[in-house]
Amino acid sequence: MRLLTGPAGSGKTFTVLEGLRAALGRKDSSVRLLVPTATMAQHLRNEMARQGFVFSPSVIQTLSRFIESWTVDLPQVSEPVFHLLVEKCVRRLNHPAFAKVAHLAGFHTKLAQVIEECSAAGCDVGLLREQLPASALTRALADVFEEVKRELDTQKLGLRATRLGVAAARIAKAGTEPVKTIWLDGFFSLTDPELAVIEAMAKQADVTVALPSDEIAAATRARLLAIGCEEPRITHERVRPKPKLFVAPGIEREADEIARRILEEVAAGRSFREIGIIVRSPEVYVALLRATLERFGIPARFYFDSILTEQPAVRCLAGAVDAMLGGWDHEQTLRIMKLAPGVGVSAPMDRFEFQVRERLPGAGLEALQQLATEVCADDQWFLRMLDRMAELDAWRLLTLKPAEWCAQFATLRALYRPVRPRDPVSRETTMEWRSQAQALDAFEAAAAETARFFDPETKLSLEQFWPALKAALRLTPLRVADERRDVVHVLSAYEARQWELPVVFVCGLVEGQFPRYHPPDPFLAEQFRRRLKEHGVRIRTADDVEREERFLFDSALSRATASVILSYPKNDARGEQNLPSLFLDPEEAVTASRPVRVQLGEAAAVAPASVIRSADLLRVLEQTQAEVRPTALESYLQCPFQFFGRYTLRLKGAPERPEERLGFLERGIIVHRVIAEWLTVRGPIEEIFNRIFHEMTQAKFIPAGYKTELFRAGMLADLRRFAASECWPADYQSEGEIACRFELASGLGISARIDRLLKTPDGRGFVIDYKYSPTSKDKVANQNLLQGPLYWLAVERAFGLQPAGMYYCSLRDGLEYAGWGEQPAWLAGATIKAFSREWLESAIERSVRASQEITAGRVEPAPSDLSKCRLCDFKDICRYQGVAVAMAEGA
Amino acid sequence: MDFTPRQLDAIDVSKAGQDTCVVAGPGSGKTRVLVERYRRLVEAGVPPQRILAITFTEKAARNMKERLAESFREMPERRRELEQANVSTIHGFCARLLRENAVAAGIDPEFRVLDARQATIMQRQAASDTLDALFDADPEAMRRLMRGLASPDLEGAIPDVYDTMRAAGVPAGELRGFEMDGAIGLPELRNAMGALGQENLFGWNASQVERLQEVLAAALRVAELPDGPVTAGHFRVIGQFPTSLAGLKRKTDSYTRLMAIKDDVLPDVYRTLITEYYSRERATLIAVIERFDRLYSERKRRMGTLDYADLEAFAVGLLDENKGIRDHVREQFQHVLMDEFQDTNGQQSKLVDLLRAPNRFYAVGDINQSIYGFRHADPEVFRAYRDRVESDGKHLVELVENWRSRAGILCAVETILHLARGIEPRPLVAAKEFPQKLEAPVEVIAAIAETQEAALDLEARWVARRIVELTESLQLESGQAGFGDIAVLVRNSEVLPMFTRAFEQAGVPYLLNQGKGFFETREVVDLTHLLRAISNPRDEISLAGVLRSPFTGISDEALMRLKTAGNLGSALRRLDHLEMPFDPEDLRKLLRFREQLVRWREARDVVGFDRLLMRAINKTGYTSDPGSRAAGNIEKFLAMAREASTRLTLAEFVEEIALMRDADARDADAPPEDAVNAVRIMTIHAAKGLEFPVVFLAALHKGIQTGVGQLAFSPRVGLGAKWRNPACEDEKGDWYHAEIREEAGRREIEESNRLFYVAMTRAEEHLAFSYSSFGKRKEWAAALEEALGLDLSVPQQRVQLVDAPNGDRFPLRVFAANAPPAPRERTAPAATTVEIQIVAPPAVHHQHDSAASVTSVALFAHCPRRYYLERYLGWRGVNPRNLRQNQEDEPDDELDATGFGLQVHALLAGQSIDDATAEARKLVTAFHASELGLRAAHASRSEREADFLMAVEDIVLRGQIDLWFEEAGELVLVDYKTDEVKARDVAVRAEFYAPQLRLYAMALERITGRFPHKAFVYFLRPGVAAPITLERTLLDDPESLVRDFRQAQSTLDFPLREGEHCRRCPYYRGLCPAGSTVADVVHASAVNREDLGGDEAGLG
Ligand code: SF4
Repeated sequence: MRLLTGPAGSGKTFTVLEGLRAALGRKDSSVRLLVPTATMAQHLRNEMARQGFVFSPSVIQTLSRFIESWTVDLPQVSEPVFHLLVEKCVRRLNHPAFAKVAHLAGFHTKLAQVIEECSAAGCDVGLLREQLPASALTRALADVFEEVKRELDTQKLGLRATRLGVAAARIAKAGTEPVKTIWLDGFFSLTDPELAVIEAMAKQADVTVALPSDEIAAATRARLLAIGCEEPRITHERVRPKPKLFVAPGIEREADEIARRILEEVAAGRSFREIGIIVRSPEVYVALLRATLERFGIPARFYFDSILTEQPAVRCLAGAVDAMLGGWDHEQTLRIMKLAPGVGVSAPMDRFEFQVRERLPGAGLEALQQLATEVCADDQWFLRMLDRMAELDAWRLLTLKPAEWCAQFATLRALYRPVRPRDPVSRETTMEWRSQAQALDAFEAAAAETARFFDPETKLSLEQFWPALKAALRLTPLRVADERRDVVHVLSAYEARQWELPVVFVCGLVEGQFPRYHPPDPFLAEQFRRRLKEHGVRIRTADDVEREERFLFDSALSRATASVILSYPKNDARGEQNLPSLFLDPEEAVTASRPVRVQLGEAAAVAPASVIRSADLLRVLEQTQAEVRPTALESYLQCPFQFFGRYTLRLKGAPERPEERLGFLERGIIVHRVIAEWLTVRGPIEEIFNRIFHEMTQAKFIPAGYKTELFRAGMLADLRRFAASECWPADYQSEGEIACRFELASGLGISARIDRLLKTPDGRGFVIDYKYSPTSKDKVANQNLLQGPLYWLAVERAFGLQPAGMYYCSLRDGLEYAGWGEQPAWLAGATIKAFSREWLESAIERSVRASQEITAGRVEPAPSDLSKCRLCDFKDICRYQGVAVAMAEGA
Repeated sequence: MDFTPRQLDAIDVSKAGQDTCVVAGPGSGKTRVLVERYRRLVEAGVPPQRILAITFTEKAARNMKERLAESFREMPERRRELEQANVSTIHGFCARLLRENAVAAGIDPEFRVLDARQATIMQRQAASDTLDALFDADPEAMRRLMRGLASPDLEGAIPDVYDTMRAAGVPAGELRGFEMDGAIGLPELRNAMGALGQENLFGWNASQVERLQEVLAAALRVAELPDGPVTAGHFRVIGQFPTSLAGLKRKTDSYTRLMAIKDDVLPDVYRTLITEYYSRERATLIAVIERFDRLYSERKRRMGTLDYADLEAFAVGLLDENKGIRDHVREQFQHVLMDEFQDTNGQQSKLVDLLRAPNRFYAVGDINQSIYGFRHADPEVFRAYRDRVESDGKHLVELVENWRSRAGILCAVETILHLARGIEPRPLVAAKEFPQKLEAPVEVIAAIAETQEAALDLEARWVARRIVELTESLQLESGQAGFGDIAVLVRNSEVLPMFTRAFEQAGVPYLLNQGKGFFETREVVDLTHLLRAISNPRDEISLAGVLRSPFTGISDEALMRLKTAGNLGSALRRLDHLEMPFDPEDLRKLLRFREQLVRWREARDVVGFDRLLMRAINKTGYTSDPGSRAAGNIEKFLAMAREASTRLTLAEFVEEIALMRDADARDADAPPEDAVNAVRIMTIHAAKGLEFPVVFLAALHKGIQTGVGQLAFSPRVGLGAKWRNPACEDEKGDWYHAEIREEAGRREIEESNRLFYVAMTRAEEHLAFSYSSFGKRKEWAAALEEALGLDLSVPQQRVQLVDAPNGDRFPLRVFAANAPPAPRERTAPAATTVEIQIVAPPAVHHQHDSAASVTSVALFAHCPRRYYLERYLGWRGVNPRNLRQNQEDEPDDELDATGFGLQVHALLAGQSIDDATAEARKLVTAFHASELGLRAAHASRSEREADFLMAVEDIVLRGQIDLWFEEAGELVLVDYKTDEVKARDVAVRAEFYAPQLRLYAMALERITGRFPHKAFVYFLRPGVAAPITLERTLLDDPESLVRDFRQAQSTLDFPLREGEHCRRCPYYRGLCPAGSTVADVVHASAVNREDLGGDEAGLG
């Protein structure tokens, strides 16, 4: 047995591959090259094949795959199943020490991890018990550990370590035939069980192990030497390119800079496949790099798993089951439906969604089906999707064998049926389709795994099977197949170890990311790990972790043959300053990233001046002026664009949330209707209010609840106050809610709905406009308001009375009159201005001008009172300078 | 720079064995001291793992680590050890502690920390759910609560008090425990009235006596109120007590007593009574909070998340309840260093007490810089510690030297805040040497006008003008002052719009860091609406927003036209059916946008939202200059979107944004990058910890409204609320509320002074005050004028010397104007704009898969489209018999590779299968008996299931040859098939497999060095061996097949090959358009489909 040691990049792999080439050249099929990961194996296989060799894939494989044939009777327990086993054992033992956390998913995950770690380190239950202080925690840990082992044995499943052990024994006995020569490469530390296998192989075959000479591999090396490895030194030392370092303001800009430099390299004649990006913290960089490289048009291949449960396909399927179990909560159900390809973005779906959202909250599928037949009867596909979901309801009652459940879940696919591909299509899109197709397959695979966990003959209910499947889904990674070659390779620091590329970027060199922050272990605290270590158990301590990070860093640096570019962001995503990695050489010269932008599809569109000029449209505007409401003119005076949005375009946003449905407007309407009716019928105002309030809650789907009650009580109190305070002389003739229309100027008709008109016996008229607001004083002062004067005119022109007063009457939290004209005794104390011609004329003048400007097509945003913008429905779209800052201040 | 004696004392590790308190004034180099202390400890042999250093902000923590790393530059070993150093914020420390002890703490070891935004939303949601639930459970009790509370809209109020409680470390369960102590009730009133009425009324005139009788009667009525249950009647009676004592004879015993009763006793009695009157409602209110607490905690638990307050609460709980862990932690940390100790709150100080062993604590702080009261910081914690250190004769150091500011500035600070409440008198000793300069280092600018608005406008303009002047005249240590050296700090950001406008007019480049309103910024609003439109284009507000934005940029005319066709979104879909005279440019934009929208919607949940947005930004050229605040906001939003994609669907995300915007729009906007040469505008709080050569403290007249909310909590008093007076309309706080108000009042005055102190001490070389003067002067402006003895109500300009309380004098420039500055030709904004490199997307070729299975290539040969759907995309067809995994390495066509096929192959490969079906065995025996079988049996050389890799062109093919053998010098290649096939169809079917066998032949040639003589597809069911011709034809040789295969992938062009076989193809009439007439599949076009009539009235 031979041991090849040398620093990263010293050509160990090269030597190994030389040997392999020679063998393949001889068509010698008795050789094996064993590597740690499947990706590495595949990478090397393809390299070899491209060099013209024809050989069986099994020649280059992972160690685990290699021992398969010796352990067919002890299949490896899959991660999901193992996790479920641990969970089961925790439940069974029901240890008081775990009582508070026994139901937490994260707890099971960590527990499973530590058990696996222990067994890989060859630390069995006994050792744990004897080495660790007899605290409740460690006792519980050991007991679960023991129980899990028992479970595995009864189910005839093995952890990796166990299987290695078995394989080692059998190889030692039966030999490695037909394999005669074995190389192991790409490992930096080997666990005891792995070493056992190697030792066994070495008895039969010619074994060579390549190891880095770094500290990290010291322990492994020592053991190998101890079992009689000879160690020819590798002298060949490749000159490493000197690393360059750049810093960017933030991660986005860091990614931009990497893209920029890649494009420079490519422009200088490099092909994409000669470039790699090594990522240590995928959770920070992978998504970002995907987006950025795509944006710059750089083809890239990511050697990372994505999370299955984040895939829309899986969200859709799993979501459907959850929604069903939750009684088809409408909001939840909508979300799932929107995920369905095609249907989810179809016009009927859009319409349906808003219809449903207007009625939220709600539950039950029938209601949705009913609505669907009303809203989109024309769309079979849409209805069919709902029917398919309806079929799920039957699942509640099923009790099936695990395998039958798998079959059942396989039918869920029908909910996520792809759209017929459009031609031509972009590479990104095909990749997206691919990932969803594979997500669906993975979903079924997870179901199959889950089935393996249960006894095949026992019938289970959905409540038993589904939680297990969900756990399995959480633990099933998704690696989307992508075998393109001429792409930039985005690799994890681990995968990168077997690669050599001319240009390598290593990004995210900040503390916590590279080196990575390793959260402490809740079961085996550092001091315990140290103690176990002292007793020869090769479990990882903080120092090992730190060493490993350093090794990964050095190895990353040594992947490049031509140039290696390191980088880090000055600030993190929240704008907090980062601490540059302590691995970075303090002497390193740092360059700054350059602002860069990819050439854009086209220059940003500039909206033309905001004005209506075309004759046909102007005609439309003119028509609206034949009959205009004072409030509309007021809106115009506040801002032409507001008027445009509210009265010309009548833009309608998304439906409001349930808690918002009883808003200002609605409450105003209720109060007005109640008053109008009360003025005619009088009698107890409560009854009128209760009826009208009820009607409104029905019509607007206003949910009952604290807030609604608060508003209800408020309105009722206000109305009672109003009724009680009725002060107008009985001999005044009073009418409510009268519509009227009069000509203000030629072509300008004012139409108004007057809340209350009081005629005095001597033919004078008072108008009252009720406001559901706390005060009305301010209205008298406000120059932009027209209601007052225009109503005044209405009294004269529409009702032929002698105007005597126009008053606002605000009702909320107290009654307050304010207005113009006479000040009758019963309105003593109210803010009432004397009538004046100028007042009337200026109002007419402003109205006419407003109307003329409207018909002339003036629509640009120009608020007369910036502070009112806060309440404007169009503040987000008018793009008026200063609205944003003002809004922020309102915040 | 060497250390001063005081600094040396502070870093002296020989005193490390005792608690230490370092009082560090502004600019006294405290971070340097802290770092040095740490360094010396390590040098003295303390391993970094044994030192716990806690900073107030993450920035400070990183900064400290960086400096440490720097100081160990020469000692790589030590530097390495820093890896495991415990330098973090309190939250960072708690998180680590909790992960390590998750089991004991009873939390999910993989907990995620909720960011403030999400926490706010969850709290609001939990609050409203709680209220609904309780209303549902006991409507009457809740109605009573509503009627009682002055402002019963509790949704926002509950989370607020809840935060205060948790910051103080008071659990909801303890709320009921707080008693009214020292409350004054009717008995006290009666005492107070005791001697009343005995006064000898000599000298009182008749009316006075009469008045006295009235008042006494009123007082008596109150005194006679029954003890026991309080009723509305009580308040009616109290309400009748006169609000004024006019008419009584002044300076008399009765008068003073009654005055006291009216102003002091009665209000107290009222509070006591109202508290008793509403005791039931108060209980309900507390029940609401308790339930809210349970609900919110439960939800977090289910999500496996903790919010920041939880981190502290759980950590305190953990250390408090587990002696073992506590001892371990104390044992582990030989030294605990804490920065900004004055900013810790009650909960945090509990934590610190739990984790520090005696004589190991080293705290640095400065009461005078405690400005986080509104975040529940409690400076008393620091004060108490310092006093204890002092009284116990432990190690107390005061760092008074200031290494930041000019003497004049420090002198001004001391003068202005001399004896001010909340400011501890401590000298600010100017330690840094500055070159002499001409300008007075301190100046005051006042703008005089009638109204506040006018004055503020004037002030802003004068500030802008003065800034321009300074950039022309002011010499700084670093040379000529530039815009980048100047910061404008305000206390109340409401004034910011005025200043930005003035700066724009004066051409002063600025970077506004509003520190809030992130969701209101133009770019964030645009991106948000784009997402909303993608989620559902029927949302007309959002769609219109996008159409008017640079994403599309259509004219308002086009918008109006579109609307005439009904709902904007639906009209957009039907664009090509609308006969409308769109302006051609508009139409082009609309069509283009519609096209994009369709694609974005298809991808909407499949790619991260950030990618979606980046695509949009790319396609539409919606740009912003890198480095600008806008770019910063976009990046921040993209980061948010990226994170959200992992949790939510797009529909949920847009909802979440809406909620965040409503719930708390105070989210900080992205801080601008430093490089730019522009004036920084920010609030004082945002400037804490920063320093600038020139500081303008603007709008000094503008305070911030403080005061206590309708609901309030104080750890000393408990929960207070404002209630309706049952006898009339008015509203007053109960006893608790009153106590809290008093407390807060005191704190606010002190904190306001400290804020002023912090603000002024940001300035290094030049400090300018400015304010608006309009009638009565307010807030800091008043303090300033008083302290400096100024009266700036009339225009003036001069430089004067001011005497400081410590006897020094400093020059002060005074300027007041009531007219705007004379116009001056505008200097163009001089902000150094960064130049941007524009790169073109590269040419991309060869994007084919570099590896494939032989069967894939064969399938491609059979029908490229089918290969595309089945293998390249991996979609299943609908044919049930075809629902199976893609076992790429298995022989494979749509009828084979069922379990049965696998079995047969295994048996033929010589494996023993126990549960093999009789059928399978039969077929196998039949083959062995067949001619081919017999030849194979006698072969001189043979191999079964020979899997191989081989490269053709640059594609690595993997495949498996069922059987090859060499017999009588002939090399024969066999592939078994279990197809159901009639003998007569064999020939046709065999052709389908030909390409596969030709590739096998090629491989075999490379393996054996000889090209096979014969190749057969052996159909096991009919038992027929179909020979395959291996001769290459021009059209059909493996290499060209592989080349086509590669080409098709690179161009993504997979033509249909329609024919008879289509009927057996699972994609027929489905995902493959072949033969499709029925709309049996959702077509991409469905995305555009819309009932052409439209669905709503257009323009009204
Ligand atoms: S927000 Fe202001 S500017 Fe914009 S439309 Fe509304 S009123 Fe006009």
